Amino acid sequence: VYLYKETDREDINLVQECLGGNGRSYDALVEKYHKTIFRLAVKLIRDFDDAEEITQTVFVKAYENLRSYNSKYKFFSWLYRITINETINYGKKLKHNEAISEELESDNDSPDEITETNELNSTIRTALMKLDTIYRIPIVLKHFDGYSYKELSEILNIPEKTVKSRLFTGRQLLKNLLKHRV
Amino acid sequence: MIDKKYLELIHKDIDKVITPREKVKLDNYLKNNPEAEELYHELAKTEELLDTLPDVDPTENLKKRIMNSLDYNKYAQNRKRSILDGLFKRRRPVFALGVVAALILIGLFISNPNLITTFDQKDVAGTMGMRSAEQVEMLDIEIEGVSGSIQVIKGSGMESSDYSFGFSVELISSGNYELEIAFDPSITTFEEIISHDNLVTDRRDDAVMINSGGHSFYSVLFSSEERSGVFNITIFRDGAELYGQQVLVK
Repeated sequence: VYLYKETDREDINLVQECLGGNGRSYDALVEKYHKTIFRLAVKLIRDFDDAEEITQTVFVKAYENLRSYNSKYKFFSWLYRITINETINYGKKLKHNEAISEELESDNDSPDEITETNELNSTIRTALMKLDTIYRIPIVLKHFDGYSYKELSEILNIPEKTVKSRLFTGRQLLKNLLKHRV
Repeated sequence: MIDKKYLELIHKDIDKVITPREKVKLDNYLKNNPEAEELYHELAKTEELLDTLPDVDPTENLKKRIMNSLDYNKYAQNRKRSILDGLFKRRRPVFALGVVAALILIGLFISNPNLITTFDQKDVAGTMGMRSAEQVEMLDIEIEGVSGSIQVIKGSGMESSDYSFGFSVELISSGNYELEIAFDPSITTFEEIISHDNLVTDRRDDAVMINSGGHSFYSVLFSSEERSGVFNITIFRDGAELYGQQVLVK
């Protein structure tokens, strides 16, 4: 018996209900995960509109390929994997870096703080974007989502040892890119 | 020059997976190695900078856009009949006979509890709506205040592609206990509990819980399209686990 957490069991049940003919069960999964998937996408590709488009594509692809989902793994991890693949495809198509959209900025700070905060955020995002995706993806997943080496290995389909070495190298590259800030 | 071993410890510390012993070793090393200490602080600062990135939310209509892109009828025609659907629709007379047989058997058990110990698997098959059944395992329970047995049965369901797993439980308890049968919901479906008692039952997606006491006898039936299944049998009293056993039915 797999040691599912309650939320994982709920997800699997929803997938089964959907495959059993109740397509509307999938809405609950969209409701539950669309913000998280979007947040991952926006960290990986930086552009707000494109991150929304990627999020939409991820959920549609997952729905279309629901039969290939293996319930041995978390549904959420599967979605992450699709997101990463979509992000890599997007990166290949991307020919230019757009400035961060205004929607990303906080409007609660004073003008001086806005400028300072935005400049810092922009610097960090630019540095992340400069990293090759093989380093950027594990760093974002590890730092912002707290995945373990083992979970990263599962999501990225690479050995744990490779996960570690990519994290180590990526982190050092990022440090160098942010040298003037650290 | 930073020792490779300690470089790894620096990253382990940043990732918060360092052990206390490794942390002591690393701290000692950093004290005596300014280059390593500088790297450590730069990497830690980089992590802090990442922490300053705010979370952003998508626009309100993203969810709606996603839902509007889905073909909700895609899986509609794949609706499969469950075993019970089959029993009720195609084999209604057979099922009715099974229910009658079950009631007779239960009546016999009430009038003569000794029958329980000479339980015939063919009766189980009839009672549980299986075509045929065989005993896979017999779990003898002898724990504080609870004794008896759980007979594990495997059979072919009424639908040729389905398999049934049954647990025929006979327990004598000095007080109330809770029996939990946990299963993998991705391959196994809980079907029903057959009993002449008014059992207090509860369900999770991956488990069935039966609350009982005294001399209780009941059967719990599952179905699966897989030939084998894994179940975790646990007996609790007042929230404390008294017995735990994993059963692999092949």
